[in-house]
Amino acid sequence: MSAVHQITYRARAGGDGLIIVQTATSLRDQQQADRWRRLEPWLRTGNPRGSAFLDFGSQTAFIRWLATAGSRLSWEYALALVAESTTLTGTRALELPELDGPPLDGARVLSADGTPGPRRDAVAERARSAEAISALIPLLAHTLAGERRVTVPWAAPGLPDAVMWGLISILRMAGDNRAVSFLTYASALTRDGDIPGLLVSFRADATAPLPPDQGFAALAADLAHRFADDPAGLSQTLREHGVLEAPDHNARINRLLSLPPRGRPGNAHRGGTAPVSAMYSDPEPAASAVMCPICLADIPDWDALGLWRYNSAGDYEEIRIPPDANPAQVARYRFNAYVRCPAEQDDTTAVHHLPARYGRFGEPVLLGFVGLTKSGKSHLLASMIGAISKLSDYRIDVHPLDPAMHHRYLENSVLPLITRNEVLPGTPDDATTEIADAFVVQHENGPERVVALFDVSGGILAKTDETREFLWIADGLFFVIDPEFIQASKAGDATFGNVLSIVRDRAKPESVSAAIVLNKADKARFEEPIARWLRSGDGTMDPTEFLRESADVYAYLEEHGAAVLTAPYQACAKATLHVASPTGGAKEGEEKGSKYPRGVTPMRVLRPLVAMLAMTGVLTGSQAELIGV
Amino acid sequence: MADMLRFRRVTGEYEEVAARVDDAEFRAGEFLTARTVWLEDGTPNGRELRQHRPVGGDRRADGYARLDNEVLAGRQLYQLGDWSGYPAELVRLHGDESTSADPYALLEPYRGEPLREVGANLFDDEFDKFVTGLLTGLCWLASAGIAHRAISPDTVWWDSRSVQITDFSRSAPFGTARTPVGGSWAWVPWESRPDTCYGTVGSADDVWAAVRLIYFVRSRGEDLDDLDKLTETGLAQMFNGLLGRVFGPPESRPTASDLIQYGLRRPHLTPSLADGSKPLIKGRRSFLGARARKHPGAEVPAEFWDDISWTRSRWATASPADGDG
Repeated sequence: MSAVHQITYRARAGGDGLIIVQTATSLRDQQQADRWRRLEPWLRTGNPRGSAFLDFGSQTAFIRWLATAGSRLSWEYALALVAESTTLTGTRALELPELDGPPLDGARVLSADGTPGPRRDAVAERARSAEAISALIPLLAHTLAGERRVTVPWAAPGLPDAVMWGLISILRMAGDNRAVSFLTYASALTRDGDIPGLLVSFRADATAPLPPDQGFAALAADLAHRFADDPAGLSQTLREHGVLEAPDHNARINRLLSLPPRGRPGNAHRGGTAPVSAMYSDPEPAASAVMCPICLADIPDWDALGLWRYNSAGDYEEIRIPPDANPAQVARYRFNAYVRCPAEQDDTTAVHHLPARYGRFGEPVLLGFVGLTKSGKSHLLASMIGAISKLSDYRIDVHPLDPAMHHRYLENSVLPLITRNEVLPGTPDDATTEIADAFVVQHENGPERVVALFDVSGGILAKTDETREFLWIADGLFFVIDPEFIQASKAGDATFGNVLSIVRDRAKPESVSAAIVLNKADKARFEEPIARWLRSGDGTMDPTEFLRESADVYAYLEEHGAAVLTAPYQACAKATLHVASPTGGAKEGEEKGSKYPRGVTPMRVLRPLVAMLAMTGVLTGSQAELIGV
Repeated sequence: MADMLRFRRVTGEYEEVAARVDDAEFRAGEFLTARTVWLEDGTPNGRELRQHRPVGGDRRADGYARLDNEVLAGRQLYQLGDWSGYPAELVRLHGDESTSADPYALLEPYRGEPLREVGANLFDDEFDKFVTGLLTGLCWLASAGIAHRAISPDTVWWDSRSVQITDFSRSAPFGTARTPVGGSWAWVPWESRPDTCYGTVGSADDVWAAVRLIYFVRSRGEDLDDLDKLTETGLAQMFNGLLGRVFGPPESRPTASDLIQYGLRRPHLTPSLADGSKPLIKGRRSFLGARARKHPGAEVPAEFWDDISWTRSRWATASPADGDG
């Protein structure tokens, strides 16, 4: 498919919203035409105030919508242009003319000779304006930080087009060829599961941009101003300093941070100064006193701690930041840095480090997994993290706290399970309790919070004389049950009892929330009510839905003589009950290296996490408050 | 060729038994194949069953899911009654092996022929049996909390005495999110089509295709392409005006039970909730008691009990006569 093909759609009112009908297409290949059914959810997310460019990797699509005067529908006509990604690029799409009337039903194949489109000059000009540069800087900062989903407040007609033109231009100049998709006016929740690379959504109801990391904000401001001053000059500078040859993203960032200073102050095109919001000069909330989750020591002044780097030899080495370092250089030093817990070490506690950003978003939220050995705690955690990007369906924005830690967890746990169908090894009893992975989580426009996840050996939790420090300050605990052991659990789960006794002795016993998870629920997938819940998809934030599932799982446990396993529901202030299957099916044997022969298809693994985020206050709003009550 | 089959009987016991296998395979539902086996379980000449298995190749994962649907429906239907009370309108599961990488379901052979083959030739007195049999079968299914989701002339069979609903490979429990159903759009309601799929599975999902199937037989093999034909063929009158709502949104669509009671105006014994559900109802109340002790004053949301998988019917508290039909 070297040409640009056209698909036209009409919308009409249905019982439950919009019914979308494809009216014509120039695609003659039925397989290709079927493939573009993937546009259907995207067609629902836009309206005539904007457009959508979707980069699926080898193919791209560009959608415009139209409504006629007096229509009660958000749109009546839509035109999608589809082509190979080398033919229809993001900037090329932005050059195309607006839709000035209903698209013709007789779909045409358009020429793709590479000549600029009619809007090119106007868009390129506006991309260098002060208002566009101002909006571009935070977006570019998040993009440089490696984020994949960014929501930007919609401010004015045409501005998102200019901002996206600037963003794509700068990324391509820097040799960053990741897929970039965008919705210039998103009117509905975006389901973005099949879109690779970056997705930028402009939304009128997004009131404030997320504060990017200070260093990335400074770097983004520098690049954006260079672009506004002289795009060709920026391109040449990046080429001369080897940015285009950088082997990976981190190397590219390092080279961008070492660009020579600009010769003059950054002025937006036409002489205007691009105002960078004060929020970006000090983007992260002031750090307050934080308790170390490893040793429970109070760390009174987080920002005063020195920075450490985890080197390739597997050691931590201190980072010496020159006193005259500029903000961009400081950002470079702080990237992937750690702090060393300042508590005095003794025989029981070794030197330990935490990600430097851990204490920068207020009191972190600590979540742990409790259950007997082989109850599936590690698999549940891995499948949760594997699916964590789907939290965007609940309007929850998530990005890793420490990219290196996240990468390690993906490599060691998520990828073996999800992509290679491998059975994960159990967590050894002698393993040090460390944060398995951690994220910065933001619900809609609420505050950003750090959420840290801990995995502990079931063997340790079953011993009354050994505890893990984080349990004394955990905000939420997942109590994990294997259905096969329900009958044997009439006397209770030793790990539940031990952990609940700690919870009762804590300084603030009421502060811990519980999610009781009937894990490996595929083993009971033909039983009521497990079958129903296991097949219920990711669900919604409706608290009644959580209450129904809790009632059903409670009833199931009671019916099977295992009411004792509901003890966390009684002991913890807020609590929910769930079914989940981290793998979707059974493994083929007990020996090391065994696999899941049917493949791995996690089911309902995000629901306990969503409930937990609501119960621990990470999620905000009236619905979230009712979950677990 | 004799194999040893170890499987779970639908009654719950595990059985290991020798079986003769006919290697000839045929299609049996979406992404499933079937072959004939004879269990050497003491039945004279062996018990003849169909062994349904997932297809090989790149759709095998889909085959696993479809087989699970067959097994779930079969097990849920079994719980409606013992074998003597099992409804003749629904194909029976004998047992299944659902844990290994090569799972299968053992089903009793289908009776008769698909309506695609014989539907145009039913006698007038057979038509009435067909209509009540089809709707009664759907009532049993609804009572088990299952929607078939693929009613068509290919999945509903006729043996000159009674209807049999077969192929539960696309079935789903009430209350679960609808997933798109492929195949001819003549038999898939728009709420289940790939481009317009939405909502949750419920007790009215099968009625859309069931009424089209009734028209198919009444018209001697035609697809319904004009709703006026329901009046021309007398079906609108036969169902007392209820068919007008069948092709609307599923939220206001009558159920199979409604079509019998309020459409045909026949006495109809709706099967009771499966016994297996009763402990669950008790457990849910027990949960609410624990919640009330823990959170005194916390209200139970009004819509809490209004759950299709619990009530089995949208009209647990209201008659469709209250509607606009």
